[in-house]
Amino acid sequence: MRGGRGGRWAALVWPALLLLCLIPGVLPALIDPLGLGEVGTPERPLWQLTLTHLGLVVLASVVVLALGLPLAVAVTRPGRDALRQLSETLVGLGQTVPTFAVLALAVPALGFGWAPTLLGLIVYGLVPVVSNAVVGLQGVSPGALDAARGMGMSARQRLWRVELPLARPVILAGVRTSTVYNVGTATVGAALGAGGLGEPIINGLSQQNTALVLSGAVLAALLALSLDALMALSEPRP
Amino acid sequence: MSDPAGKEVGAERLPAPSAAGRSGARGDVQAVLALAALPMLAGAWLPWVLLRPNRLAPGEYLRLPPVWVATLLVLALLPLAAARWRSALTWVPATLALLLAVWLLGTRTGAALVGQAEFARASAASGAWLTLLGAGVAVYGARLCGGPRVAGWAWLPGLAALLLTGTLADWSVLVEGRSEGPRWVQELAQHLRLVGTALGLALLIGAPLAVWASGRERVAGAVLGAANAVQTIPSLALLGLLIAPLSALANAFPALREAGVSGIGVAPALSAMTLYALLPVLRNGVVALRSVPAGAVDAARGMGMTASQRFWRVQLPLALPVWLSGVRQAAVLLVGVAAVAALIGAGGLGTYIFKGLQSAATDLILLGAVPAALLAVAVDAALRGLETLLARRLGRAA
Repeated sequence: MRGGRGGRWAALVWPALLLLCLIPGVLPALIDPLGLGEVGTPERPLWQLTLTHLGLVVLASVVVLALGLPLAVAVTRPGRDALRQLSETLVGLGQTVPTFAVLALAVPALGFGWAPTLLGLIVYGLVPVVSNAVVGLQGVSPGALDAARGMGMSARQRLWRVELPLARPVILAGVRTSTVYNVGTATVGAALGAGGLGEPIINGLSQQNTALVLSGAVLAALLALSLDALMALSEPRP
Repeated sequence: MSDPAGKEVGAERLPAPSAAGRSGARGDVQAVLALAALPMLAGAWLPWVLLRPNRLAPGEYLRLPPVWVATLLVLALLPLAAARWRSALTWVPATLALLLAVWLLGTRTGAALVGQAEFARASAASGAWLTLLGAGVAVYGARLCGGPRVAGWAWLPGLAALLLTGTLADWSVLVEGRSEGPRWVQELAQHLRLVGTALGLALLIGAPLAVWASGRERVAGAVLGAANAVQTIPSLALLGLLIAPLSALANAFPALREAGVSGIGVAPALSAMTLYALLPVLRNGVVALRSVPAGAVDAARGMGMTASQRFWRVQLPLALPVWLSGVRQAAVLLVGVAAVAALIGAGGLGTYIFKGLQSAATDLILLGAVPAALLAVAVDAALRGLETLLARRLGRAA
């Protein structure tokens, strides 16, 4: 869907720009001459905020894969139509309900900090992974499954050697969507005290310091574009 | 968001209701009802009400009286039993469980507040939330069990009656809502205004652009690529990125500042939201227009239609259902982005979420988050309905 012909090129440029901006002093030197305020020296350096951000997103993605893939496999087994419909309805609901509402609703249960943000990232990240995995597993042609059965493969062998490999591109596309959207969700998580690159944005907004806002926004955008381009490399080229 | 077309695949394949009322439901439907029973069983035991002397202070957790615990336990298991022996009647205990849970939340919060000071607040605790969740799943499962179709919606008039008679009036979120009153309505209206304006602008820009790009291979690729890149950028970052140029514009041209353009407020929120909504409108427009069968356009040409007649009478009607699903995605996305836009002073329901987060007031968070979530679900359902209607009017099977 995304990427296309410029995929390899983008996978080089965006991460390079991100790393360049993370060298101490480079981003302030770029932003300060605009006359919008001073980036100054925040309590935590920008590279540390970027690492926190990336850590939250990667941790969430690992949990999402560990939960979402078995769930998708479980509900696509034959004779479990009702469970599949339930999971599809819940996933559709998750797609519709605003991210920020999910994050905010986790606060009463878990308090402030990174915990509600991580929960929000997992809940929200599950949506594309489960829906794509279900679509991918359902899309495996019955002919291929019949052939595998004819070769004497057990149900477990069919799953590992036929269904999952055939569904892999669709599942990977779901993981990519989930990760990239979660970079955005984690930005909003700064409002719950999760740290990360949303912190300079939100602090800058409350202090009317546009330069600080810009430093966080540029890095968050570059991080999302880099992850998107890097993960596109794992997808087969059309 | 990754594969909107794929999502609908399963929804079309509703299983045939089980043959006769007396026979048991299928095994997987019973598994759904078992999943529904678990949170209800747990919820009956857990505390239902959190009573606090004011909206910020720590409070004490109150459990249900034993009679109601027992009733809830029975109601949690009844749908399972019904599905086994009288599956057409499963909706009765499921609907009852949902309505009883709402009613109990209302009466227990009311009872907790008796004899308390004016500022005391009674909010729902884990037990109430789990029971409501389980009852919701049970109602969903009951719809797969056969029985009359209308029965699946029986909870709706019941719930409306409970709400209209003020059953939940003592629930802390509604107490908070009453004290906000007209201001809350204003923020809701502002939320809708933001979403409506941004969607309108996105359509105004995106629709002609999609029509223009759909005929040109390279342009279509470039336009979609640019829109994709915008979509990849986090919404909060996009809001931040737009503040700088807009405040610079406002500083350079005082006339623009008079017109309301500035770095903070509605202008950057609307620009970011419009950019965000552009992708689904553009992508689905280009895809829909390109998938119009060439044969249909050829036939129209053969009938002597001019280019504009071909567009308005053949291409557009054929492309409209797919295009509209892009508009629906954009609208749902905008409801969420508008909630974040409150941070830069654009108003809307997000105002309450941020206020609640700043003062650690759960009820305020719920007052913003729950209506925003319901709004997104309602917008989605309304536009889905419109899609079905249009598809039918245009002579296709929905």
